[in-house]
Amino acid sequence: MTPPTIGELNPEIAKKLGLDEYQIDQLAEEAGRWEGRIILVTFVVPPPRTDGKKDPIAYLPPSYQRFGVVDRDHRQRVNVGETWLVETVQKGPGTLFLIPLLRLDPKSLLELQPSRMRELADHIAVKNPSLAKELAAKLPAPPDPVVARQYEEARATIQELQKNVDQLSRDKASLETQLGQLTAMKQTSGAPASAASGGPNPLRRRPAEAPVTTSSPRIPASPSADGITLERLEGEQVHSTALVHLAYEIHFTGDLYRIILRPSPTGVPCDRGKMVLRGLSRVDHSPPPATYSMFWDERLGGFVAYIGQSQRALEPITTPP
Amino acid sequence: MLIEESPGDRVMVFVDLRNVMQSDLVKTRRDQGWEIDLVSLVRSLPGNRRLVGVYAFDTLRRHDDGFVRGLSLVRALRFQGFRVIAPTDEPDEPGTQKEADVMLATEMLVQAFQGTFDVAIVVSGDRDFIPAIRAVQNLGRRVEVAALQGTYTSKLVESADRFHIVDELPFLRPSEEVTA
Repeated sequence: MTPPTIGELNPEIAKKLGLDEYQIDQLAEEAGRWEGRIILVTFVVPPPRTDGKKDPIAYLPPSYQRFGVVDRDHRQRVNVGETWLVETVQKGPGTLFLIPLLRLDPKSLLELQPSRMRELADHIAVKNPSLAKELAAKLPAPPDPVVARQYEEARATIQELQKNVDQLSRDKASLETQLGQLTAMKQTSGAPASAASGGPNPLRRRPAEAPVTTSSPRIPASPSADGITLERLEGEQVHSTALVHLAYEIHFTGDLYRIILRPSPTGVPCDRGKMVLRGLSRVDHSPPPATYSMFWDERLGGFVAYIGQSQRALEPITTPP
Repeated sequence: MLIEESPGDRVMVFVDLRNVMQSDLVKTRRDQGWEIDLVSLVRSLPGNRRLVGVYAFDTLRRHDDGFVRGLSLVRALRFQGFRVIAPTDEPDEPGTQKEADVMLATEMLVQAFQGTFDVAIVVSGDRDFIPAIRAVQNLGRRVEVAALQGTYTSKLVESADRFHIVDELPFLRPSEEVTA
Protein backbone atom coordinates (compact mmCIF):
# COMPACT_ATOMS: atom_id res chain seq x y z
CA MET A 1 0.00 0.00 0.00
CA THR A 2 1.35 3.43 -0.93
CA PRO A 3 1.85 5.63 2.12
CA PRO A 4 -0.30 8.78 2.20
CA THR A 5 1.37 12.05 1.33
CA ILE A 6 1.49 15.11 3.54
CA GLY A 7 -1.02 16.74 1.16
CA GLU A 8 -3.47 13.93 1.67
CA LEU A 9 -3.01 13.91 5.41
CA ASN A 10 -3.18 17.62 5.92
CA PRO A 11 -4.10 19.59 2.80
CA GLU A 12 -4.32 22.80 4.75
CA ILE A 13 -0.67 22.68 5.84
CA ALA A 14 0.40 21.92 2.28
CA LYS A 15 -1.63 24.89 1.08
CA LYS A 16 -0.13 27.20 3.73
CA LEU A 17 3.39 26.12 2.72
CA GLY A 18 2.55 26.77 -0.92
CA LEU A 19 3.50 23.27 -2.03
CA ASP A 20 2.00 21.68 -5.05
CA GLU A 21 1.26 17.98 -5.44
CA TYR A 22 4.61 17.21 -7.11
CA GLN A 23 6.67 18.94 -4.40
CA ILE A 24 4.68 17.15 -1.73
CA ASP A 25 5.39 13.78 -3.35
CA GLN A 26 9.09 14.68 -3.63
CA LEU A 27 9.22 15.47 0.08
CA ALA A 28 7.40 12.25 0.94
CA GLU A 29 9.88 10.24 -1.11
CA GLU A 30 12.80 12.04 0.50
CA ALA A 31 11.28 11.42 3.91
CA GLY A 32 11.22 7.67 3.36
CA ARG A 33 14.61 7.41 1.67
CA TRP A 34 16.69 6.75 4.73
CA GLU A 35 14.06 4.84 6.65
CA GLY A 36 14.86 1.41 8.17
CA ARG A 37 18.54 1.22 7.36
CA ILE A 38 21.01 -0.54 9.64
CA ILE A 39 24.27 1.28 9.96
CA LEU A 40 27.24 1.50 12.28
CA VAL A 41 27.72 4.81 14.08
CA THR A 42 29.76 6.29 16.91
CA PHE A 43 28.07 8.79 19.15
CA VAL A 44 29.84 12.07 19.87
CA VAL A 45 29.26 15.23 21.88
CA PRO A 46 26.84 17.45 19.97
CA PRO A 47 27.78 21.00 18.96
CA PRO A 48 26.36 23.68 21.28
CA ARG A 49 22.67 24.01 20.79
CA THR A 50 20.41 26.99 21.44
CA ASP A 51 18.11 24.90 23.58
CA GLY A 52 21.07 23.73 25.70
CA LYS A 53 20.41 20.01 25.18
CA LYS A 54 23.39 17.70 25.12
CA ASP A 55 22.02 14.43 23.79
CA PRO A 56 24.70 12.51 21.89
CA ILE A 57 24.55 12.63 18.12
CA ALA A 58 26.14 10.54 15.39
CA TYR A 59 27.57 11.75 12.10
CA LEU A 60 26.26 9.46 9.41
CA PRO A 61 28.07 8.35 6.25
CA PRO A 62 28.54 11.21 3.72
CA SER A 63 25.81 9.94 1.40
CA TYR A 64 23.23 10.59 4.12
CA GLN A 65 24.16 14.32 4.25
CA ARG A 66 22.81 14.65 7.75
CA PHE A 67 23.39 13.56 11.28
CA GLY A 68 21.37 11.30 13.53
CA VAL A 69 20.10 11.64 17.03
CA VAL A 70 19.06 8.88 19.36
CA ASP A 71 15.37 8.15 19.34
CA ARG A 72 14.00 9.62 22.54
CA ASP A 73 12.73 6.26 23.78
CA HIS A 74 16.30 4.91 23.78
CA ARG A 75 18.31 7.91 25.00
CA GLN A 76 19.14 6.38 28.36
CA ARG A 77 20.97 3.46 26.71
CA VAL A 78 23.48 5.44 24.69
CA ASN A 79 26.57 7.34 25.88
CA VAL A 80 29.07 9.53 24.09
CA GLY A 81 31.99 7.56 22.68
CA GLU A 82 30.09 4.30 22.15
CA THR A 83 29.78 2.55 18.82
CA TRP A 84 26.40 1.09 18.02
CA LEU A 85 24.65 -0.79 15.27
CA VAL A 86 21.53 1.32 14.79
CA GLU A 87 18.37 1.33 12.74
CA THR A 88 17.41 4.62 11.13
CA VAL A 89 13.96 6.13 11.50
CA GLN A 90 13.07 9.11 9.34
CA LYS A 91 10.24 11.16 10.72
CA GLY A 92 10.76 14.06 8.38
CA PRO A 93 13.11 15.44 5.72
CA GLY A 94 15.72 16.64 8.27
CA THR A 95 17.39 14.78 11.09
CA LEU A 96 17.40 11.00 11.22
CA PHE A 97 16.43 9.27 14.42
CA LEU A 98 18.46 6.25 15.44
CA ILE A 99 17.23 3.21 17.33
CA PRO A 100 20.24 1.53 18.97
CA LEU A 101 20.30 -2.21 18.36
CA LEU A 102 23.65 -3.51 19.52
CA ARG A 103 26.55 -1.83 21.24
CA LEU A 104 29.82 -2.95 19.74
CA ASP A 105 32.59 -3.42 22.27
CA PRO A 106 35.10 -6.22 22.79
CA LYS A 107 32.65 -8.13 24.95
CA SER A 108 29.80 -7.94 22.48
CA LEU A 109 32.09 -8.87 19.58
CA LEU A 110 33.96 -11.69 21.25
CA GLU A 111 31.25 -13.07 23.51
CA LEU A 112 28.16 -12.63 21.38
CA GLN A 113 25.65 -15.08 22.74
CA PRO A 114 23.85 -17.36 20.27
CA SER A 115 20.47 -15.90 21.29
CA ARG A 116 21.73 -12.37 20.62
CA MET A 117 23.20 -13.43 17.25
CA ARG A 118 19.85 -14.92 16.28
CA GLU A 119 18.05 -11.75 17.36
CA LEU A 120 20.40 -9.67 15.27
CA ALA A 121 20.07 -11.94 12.24
CA ASP A 122 16.28 -11.91 12.50
CA HIS A 123 16.28 -8.16 12.72
CA ILE A 124 18.49 -7.81 9.66
CA ALA A 125 16.43 -10.37 7.72
CA VAL A 126 13.19 -8.49 8.39
CA LYS A 127 14.30 -4.91 8.44
CA ASN A 128 17.07 -4.97 5.88
CA PRO A 129 16.50 -7.64 3.23
CA SER A 130 19.20 -6.25 0.97
CA LEU A 131 21.85 -6.61 3.70
CA ALA A 132 20.54 -10.07 4.52
CA LYS A 133 20.85 -11.06 0.87
CA GLU A 134 24.38 -9.68 0.73
CA LEU A 135 25.39 -11.55 3.88
CA ALA A 136 23.82 -14.77 2.62
CA ALA A 137 25.92 -14.54 -0.53
CA LYS A 138 29.10 -14.25 1.59
CA LEU A 139 28.31 -17.16 3.88
CA PRO A 140 30.00 -20.46 3.09
CA ALA A 141 27.75 -23.08 1.61
CA PRO A 142 26.43 -25.61 4.16
CA PRO A 143 28.47 -28.80 4.20
CA ASP A 144 27.35 -31.80 2.30
CA PRO A 145 25.31 -34.03 4.68
CA VAL A 146 27.41 -37.08 3.83
CA VAL A 147 30.66 -35.22 4.51
CA ALA A 148 29.25 -33.80 7.74
CA ARG A 149 28.30 -37.30 8.92
CA GLN A 150 31.75 -38.67 8.03
CA TYR A 151 33.35 -35.77 9.89
CA GLU A 152 31.34 -36.51 13.05
CA GLU A 153 32.19 -40.22 12.82
CA ALA A 154 35.88 -39.43 12.46
CA ARG A 155 35.73 -37.15 15.48
CA ALA A 156 34.07 -39.87 17.57
CA THR A 157 36.78 -42.34 16.50
CA ILE A 158 39.52 -39.89 17.49
CA GLN A 159 37.96 -39.41 20.90
CA GLU A 160 37.73 -43.18 21.40
CA LEU A 161 41.39 -43.62 20.40
CA GLN A 162 42.41 -40.81 22.74
CA LYS A 163 40.68 -42.63 25.61
CA ASN A 164 42.61 -45.79 24.74
CA VAL A 165 45.88 -43.85 24.69
CA ASP A 166 45.10 -42.41 28.15
CA GLN A 167 44.33 -45.88 29.51
CA LEU A 168 47.54 -47.29 28.03
CA SER A 169 49.51 -44.42 29.59
CA ARG A 170 48.02 -45.25 32.98
CA ASP A 171 48.81 -48.94 32.50
CA LYS A 172 52.36 -48.05 31.54
CA ALA A 173 52.81 -45.97 34.71
CA SER A 174 51.46 -48.81 36.81
CA LEU A 175 53.77 -51.34 35.17
CA GLU A 176 56.73 -49.01 35.69
CA THR A 177 55.86 -48.87 39.36
CA GLN A 178 55.78 -52.65 39.58
CA LEU A 179 59.05 -52.85 37.69
CA GLY A 180 60.62 -50.41 40.14
CA GLN A 181 59.46 -52.46 43.09
CA LEU A 182 60.69 -55.72 41.58
CA THR A 183 64.02 -54.14 40.74
CA ALA A 184 64.36 -52.88 44.29
CA MET A 185 63.54 -56.32 45.69
CA LYS A 186 66.04 -57.96 43.37
CA GLN A 187 68.69 -55.41 44.30
CA THR A 188 68.11 -56.14 47.98
CA SER A 189 68.67 -59.82 47.32
CA GLY A 190 72.06 -59.02 45.75
CA ALA A 191 71.49 -59.10 42.00
CA PRO A 192 72.52 -56.02 39.98
CA ALA A 193 69.48 -53.88 39.20
CA SER A 194 70.51 -52.83 35.72
CA ALA A 195 70.90 -56.45 34.70
CA ALA A 196 67.48 -57.32 36.06
CA SER A 197 65.55 -54.57 34.35
CA GLY A 198 67.64 -54.33 31.23
CA GLY A 199 68.08 -50.61 31.74
CA PRO A 200 68.68 -47.93 34.33
CA ASN A 201 67.10 -48.40 37.74
CA PRO A 202 63.87 -46.39 37.76
CA LEU A 203 64.37 -45.69 41.43
CA ARG A 204 67.58 -43.82 40.72
CA ARG A 205 65.69 -40.77 39.62
CA ARG A 206 64.95 -37.77 41.75
CA PRO A 207 62.02 -38.47 44.09
CA ALA A 208 59.53 -36.25 42.21
CA GLU A 209 59.93 -38.55 39.21
CA ALA A 210 60.30 -41.79 41.11
CA PRO A 211 57.72 -44.28 39.93
CA VAL A 212 56.79 -45.15 43.48
CA THR A 213 54.89 -41.86 43.61
CA THR A 214 52.68 -42.49 40.61
CA SER A 215 50.57 -45.24 42.10
CA SER A 216 49.61 -43.59 45.36
CA PRO A 217 51.21 -40.25 45.96
CA ARG A 218 49.12 -39.21 48.97
CA ILE A 219 48.20 -41.90 51.46
CA PRO A 220 48.91 -45.53 50.68
CA ALA A 221 46.36 -48.26 51.34
CA SER A 222 48.77 -49.74 53.85
CA PRO A 223 52.21 -48.74 55.05
CA SER A 224 53.83 -51.39 52.91
CA ALA A 225 51.81 -50.67 49.76
CA ASP A 226 54.89 -49.46 47.89
CA GLY A 227 56.99 -52.42 48.95
CA ILE A 228 59.96 -50.26 49.98
CA THR A 229 61.66 -51.00 53.26
CA LEU A 230 64.18 -49.33 55.50
CA GLU A 231 66.60 -51.80 57.10
CA ARG A 232 68.19 -51.06 60.44
CA LEU A 233 71.64 -52.60 60.26
CA GLU A 234 73.45 -51.81 63.49
CA GLY A 235 73.17 -49.07 66.06
CA GLU A 236 71.38 -46.22 64.30
CA GLN A 237 72.67 -47.07 60.84
CA VAL A 238 70.00 -47.83 58.26
CA HIS A 239 69.96 -48.83 54.60
CA SER A 240 67.43 -48.66 51.79
CA THR A 241 67.76 -49.02 48.04
CA ALA A 242 65.28 -46.18 47.66
CA LEU A 243 67.65 -43.69 49.30
CA VAL A 244 69.44 -42.42 46.22
CA HIS A 245 70.18 -38.85 47.26
CA LEU A 246 73.41 -37.65 48.85
CA ALA A 247 71.77 -36.28 51.98
CA TYR A 248 68.43 -36.27 53.78
CA GLU A 249 66.79 -34.08 56.39
CA ILE A 250 65.52 -36.30 59.21
CA HIS A 251 62.47 -35.50 61.31
CA PHE A 252 60.37 -37.58 63.68
CA THR A 253 56.66 -37.00 64.05
CA GLY A 254 55.39 -35.64 67.34
CA ASP A 255 53.94 -39.01 68.31
CA LEU A 256 57.29 -40.68 67.51
CA TYR A 257 55.46 -43.12 65.31
CA ARG A 258 57.02 -42.19 61.98
CA ILE A 259 60.27 -40.83 60.64
CA ILE A 260 60.40 -38.57 57.57
CA LEU A 261 63.43 -38.42 55.30
CA ARG A 262 63.40 -35.45 52.94
CA PRO A 263 66.12 -35.06 50.29
CA SER A 264 68.19 -31.99 51.20
CA PRO A 265 71.76 -30.99 50.40
CA THR A 266 72.26 -29.78 53.99
CA GLY A 267 70.91 -32.93 55.63
CA VAL A 268 72.47 -36.10 56.98
CA PRO A 269 74.87 -37.66 54.44
CA CYS A 270 73.70 -40.82 52.71
CA ASP A 271 76.24 -43.13 51.11
CA ARG A 272 74.85 -45.69 48.66
CA GLY A 273 71.61 -45.97 50.58
CA LYS A 274 73.30 -46.13 54.00
CA MET A 275 72.97 -43.40 56.61
CA VAL A 276 72.81 -42.84 60.34
CA LEU A 277 69.43 -41.88 61.80
CA ARG A 278 70.29 -40.08 65.00
CA GLY A 279 67.62 -40.64 67.63
CA LEU A 280 66.40 -43.94 66.18
CA SER A 281 67.68 -45.96 69.13
CA ARG A 282 65.73 -43.70 71.46
CA VAL A 283 62.52 -44.54 69.63
CA ASP A 284 63.08 -48.19 68.77
CA HIS A 285 64.51 -49.88 71.83
CA SER A 286 64.56 -53.35 70.29
CA PRO A 287 68.02 -54.50 69.15
CA PRO A 288 68.88 -54.41 65.42
CA PRO A 289 68.40 -55.71 62.82
CA ALA A 290 64.91 -54.43 62.10
CA THR A 291 62.88 -53.69 59.02
CA TYR A 292 60.56 -50.74 58.70
CA SER A 293 57.92 -50.17 56.03
CA MET A 294 58.57 -47.05 54.00
CA PHE A 295 56.80 -45.13 51.23
CA TRP A 296 57.23 -41.90 49.35
CA ASP A 297 54.79 -39.22 50.50
CA GLU A 298 54.34 -36.58 47.84
CA ARG A 299 52.58 -34.31 50.28
CA LEU A 300 55.46 -34.24 52.75
CA GLY A 301 58.05 -34.36 50.00
CA GLY A 302 59.95 -37.27 51.46
CA PHE A 303 60.03 -40.91 52.51
CA VAL A 304 57.94 -41.90 55.50
CA ALA A 305 59.13 -44.89 57.52
CA TYR A 306 56.94 -46.46 60.19
CA ILE A 307 58.80 -47.02 63.44
CA GLY A 308 55.71 -47.15 65.60
CA GLN A 309 56.31 -50.66 66.90
CA SER A 310 58.58 -49.20 69.53
CA GLN A 311 56.11 -46.61 70.72
CA ARG A 312 55.13 -48.66 73.77
CA ALA A 313 58.68 -48.48 75.06
CA LEU A 314 58.44 -44.75 75.56
CA GLU A 315 57.30 -43.03 78.65
CA PRO A 316 53.61 -42.13 78.53
CA ILE A 317 52.91 -38.46 77.92
CA THR A 318 51.13 -36.79 80.78
CA THR A 319 47.91 -35.22 79.66
CA PRO A 320 46.35 -32.18 81.35
CA PRO A 321 43.35 -32.77 83.62
CA MET B 1 38.66 -36.03 52.02
CA LEU B 2 35.78 -33.69 51.24
CA ILE B 3 37.89 -30.73 50.18
CA GLU B 4 40.72 -31.61 47.82
CA GLU B 5 44.03 -29.82 47.83
CA SER B 6 44.76 -27.89 44.68
CA PRO B 7 48.45 -27.24 43.86
CA GLY B 8 47.60 -23.70 42.84
CA ASP B 9 46.12 -22.77 46.22
CA ARG B 10 48.03 -20.06 48.07
CA VAL B 11 48.49 -21.08 51.68
CA MET B 12 49.32 -18.76 54.57
CA VAL B 13 50.15 -20.21 57.97
CA PHE B 14 49.43 -18.38 61.24
CA VAL B 15 51.20 -19.89 64.24
CA ASP B 16 50.23 -19.19 67.85
CA LEU B 17 53.72 -19.83 69.21
CA ARG B 18 52.73 -19.97 72.86
CA ASN B 19 50.01 -22.53 72.20
CA VAL B 20 52.45 -24.84 70.42
CA MET B 21 55.57 -24.39 72.53
CA GLN B 22 53.76 -24.57 75.88
CA SER B 23 51.72 -27.66 75.01
CA ASP B 24 52.25 -30.77 77.12
CA LEU B 25 53.45 -32.89 74.22
CA VAL B 26 56.09 -30.39 73.15
CA LYS B 27 57.25 -29.84 76.73
CA THR B 28 57.51 -33.59 77.25
CA ARG B 29 59.45 -34.12 74.05
CA ARG B 30 61.83 -31.31 74.92
CA ASP B 31 62.39 -32.88 78.33
CA GLN B 32 63.12 -36.17 76.53
CA GLY B 33 65.85 -34.49 74.49
CA TRP B 34 64.08 -33.58 71.27
CA GLU B 35 64.30 -30.26 69.46
CA ILE B 36 61.24 -28.63 67.94
CA ASP B 37 61.69 -27.74 64.28
CA LEU B 38 58.87 -25.31 63.48
CA VAL B 39 60.13 -24.88 59.92
CA SER B 40 59.61 -28.56 59.22
CA LEU B 41 56.16 -28.40 60.81
CA VAL B 42 55.12 -25.43 58.68
CA ARG B 43 56.57 -27.02 55.53
CA SER B 44 54.49 -30.14 56.13
CA LEU B 45 51.17 -28.35 56.52
CA PRO B 46 50.51 -27.02 52.98
CA GLY B 47 51.51 -30.28 51.27
CA ASN B 48 51.68 -29.71 47.51
CA ARG B 49 50.15 -26.26 47.74
CA ARG B 50 52.04 -22.97 47.52
CA LEU B 51 53.17 -21.60 50.86
CA VAL B 52 53.02 -17.81 50.42
CA GLY B 53 53.62 -16.65 53.98
CA VAL B 54 54.10 -17.68 57.58
CA TYR B 55 53.16 -15.51 60.54
CA ALA B 56 54.07 -16.36 64.12
CA PHE B 57 52.61 -14.55 67.12
CA ASP B 58 53.73 -14.46 70.72
CA THR B 59 54.32 -12.10 73.60
CA LEU B 60 57.91 -11.93 74.75
CA ARG B 61 58.65 -11.81 78.45
CA ARG B 62 60.96 -9.15 79.82
CA HIS B 63 62.80 -10.14 83.00
CA ASP B 64 63.67 -7.79 85.80
CA ASP B 65 67.27 -7.54 84.58
CA GLY B 66 66.04 -6.39 81.17
CA PHE B 67 66.68 -9.74 79.44
CA VAL B 68 63.91 -10.63 76.99
CA ARG B 69 63.12 -14.31 76.97
CA GLY B 70 62.38 -16.01 73.65
CA LEU B 71 64.20 -13.49 71.50
CA SER B 72 66.59 -16.10 70.08
CA LEU B 73 63.65 -18.18 68.81
CA VAL B 74 62.11 -15.09 67.24
CA ARG B 75 65.37 -14.23 65.49
CA ALA B 76 65.88 -17.82 64.30
CA LEU B 77 62.38 -17.93 62.88
CA ARG B 78 62.82 -14.58 61.16
CA PHE B 79 65.96 -15.91 59.48
CA GLN B 80 63.90 -18.85 58.21
CA GLY B 81 61.32 -16.58 56.57
CA PHE B 82 58.75 -16.34 59.34
CA ARG B 83 57.10 -12.98 59.92
CA VAL B 84 57.19 -12.91 63.69
CA ILE B 85 54.99 -10.45 65.54
CA ALA B 86 55.98 -10.59 69.19
CA PRO B 87 55.69 -7.51 71.37
CA THR B 88 57.17 -7.53 74.88
CA ASP B 89 54.81 -8.01 77.81
CA GLU B 90 53.82 -5.17 80.13
CA PRO B 91 55.61 -4.80 83.50
CA ASP B 92 52.31 -4.99 85.40
CA GLU B 93 51.35 -8.31 83.74
CA PRO B 94 54.61 -10.26 83.52
CA GLY B 95 54.56 -13.64 81.83
CA THR B 96 51.08 -13.41 80.36
CA GLN B 97 50.44 -13.65 76.67
CA LYS B 98 48.53 -10.52 75.72
CA GLU B 99 47.34 -9.29 72.33
CA ALA B 100 48.73 -12.32 70.48
CA ASP B 101 45.34 -13.92 69.74
CA VAL B 102 43.83 -10.65 68.58
CA MET B 103 46.93 -9.86 66.53
CA LEU B 104 46.70 -13.26 64.83
CA ALA B 105 42.98 -12.87 64.13
CA THR B 106 43.42 -9.32 62.87
CA GLU B 107 46.32 -10.23 60.60
CA MET B 108 44.41 -13.19 59.18
CA LEU B 109 41.37 -11.03 58.48
CA VAL B 110 43.42 -8.24 56.90
CA GLN B 111 45.21 -10.74 54.66
CA ALA B 112 41.87 -12.31 53.74
CA PHE B 113 40.44 -8.92 52.80
CA GLN B 114 43.52 -8.19 50.73
CA GLY B 115 43.10 -11.54 48.97
CA THR B 116 46.67 -12.68 49.59
CA PHE B 117 45.77 -16.29 50.34
CA ASP B 118 43.26 -18.95 49.37
CA VAL B 119 43.78 -21.12 52.44
CA ALA B 120 44.74 -20.02 55.94
CA ILE B 121 46.13 -22.57 58.37
CA VAL B 122 45.86 -21.60 62.02
CA VAL B 123 48.31 -23.53 64.16
CA SER B 124 46.63 -23.35 67.54
CA GLY B 125 44.09 -25.23 69.60
CA ASP B 126 42.64 -22.06 71.09
CA ARG B 127 38.89 -21.80 70.52
CA ASP B 128 39.11 -18.00 70.78
CA PHE B 129 39.89 -18.08 67.07
CA ILE B 130 36.53 -19.53 66.05
CA PRO B 131 34.85 -16.15 65.29
CA ALA B 132 37.84 -15.03 63.22
CA ILE B 133 37.86 -18.36 61.37
CA ARG B 134 34.16 -17.96 60.54
CA ALA B 135 34.68 -14.38 59.38
CA VAL B 136 37.48 -15.44 57.03
CA GLN B 137 35.36 -18.33 55.74
CA ASN B 138 32.54 -15.85 55.05
CA LEU B 139 34.96 -13.94 52.83
CA GLY B 140 35.25 -17.03 50.64
CA ARG B 141 38.58 -18.30 51.98
CA ARG B 142 39.21 -21.73 53.44
CA VAL B 143 40.58 -22.03 56.95
CA GLU B 144 42.33 -25.10 58.24
CA VAL B 145 43.35 -25.66 61.82
CA ALA B 146 46.37 -27.58 63.09
CA ALA B 147 46.64 -28.41 66.76
CA LEU B 148 48.32 -30.81 69.13
CA GLN B 149 46.39 -33.56 70.86
CA GLY B 150 44.89 -32.38 74.13
CA THR B 151 44.99 -28.69 73.21
CA TYR B 152 41.87 -28.35 71.07
CA THR B 153 38.11 -28.73 71.45
CA SER B 154 35.55 -30.28 69.13
CA LYS B 155 34.04 -26.83 68.43
CA LEU B 156 37.32 -25.69 66.94
CA VAL B 157 37.55 -28.82 64.79
CA GLU B 158 33.97 -28.25 63.57
CA SER B 159 34.67 -24.66 62.60
CA ALA B 160 37.67 -25.58 60.42
CA ASP B 161 37.39 -26.66 56.80
CA ARG B 162 40.08 -29.21 57.54
CA PHE B 163 41.88 -30.30 60.66
CA HIS B 164 45.51 -31.37 61.01
CA ILE B 165 46.76 -33.25 64.04
CA VAL B 166 50.20 -31.81 64.65
CA ASP B 167 51.33 -34.92 66.54
CA GLU B 168 51.35 -36.81 63.23
CA LEU B 169 53.52 -34.23 61.46
CA PRO B 170 57.33 -34.26 61.37
CA PHE B 171 58.78 -31.58 63.64
CA LEU B 172 61.11 -33.39 66.05
CA ARG B 173 64.82 -33.98 65.79
CA PRO B 174 67.25 -35.20 68.43
CA SER B 175 69.00 -32.36 70.21
CA GLU B 176 72.78 -32.17 69.89
CA GLU B 177 73.48 -32.23 73.64
CA VAL B 178 71.69 -35.50 74.32
CA THR B 179 72.92 -37.50 71.36
CA ALA B 180 76.48 -36.19 71.27
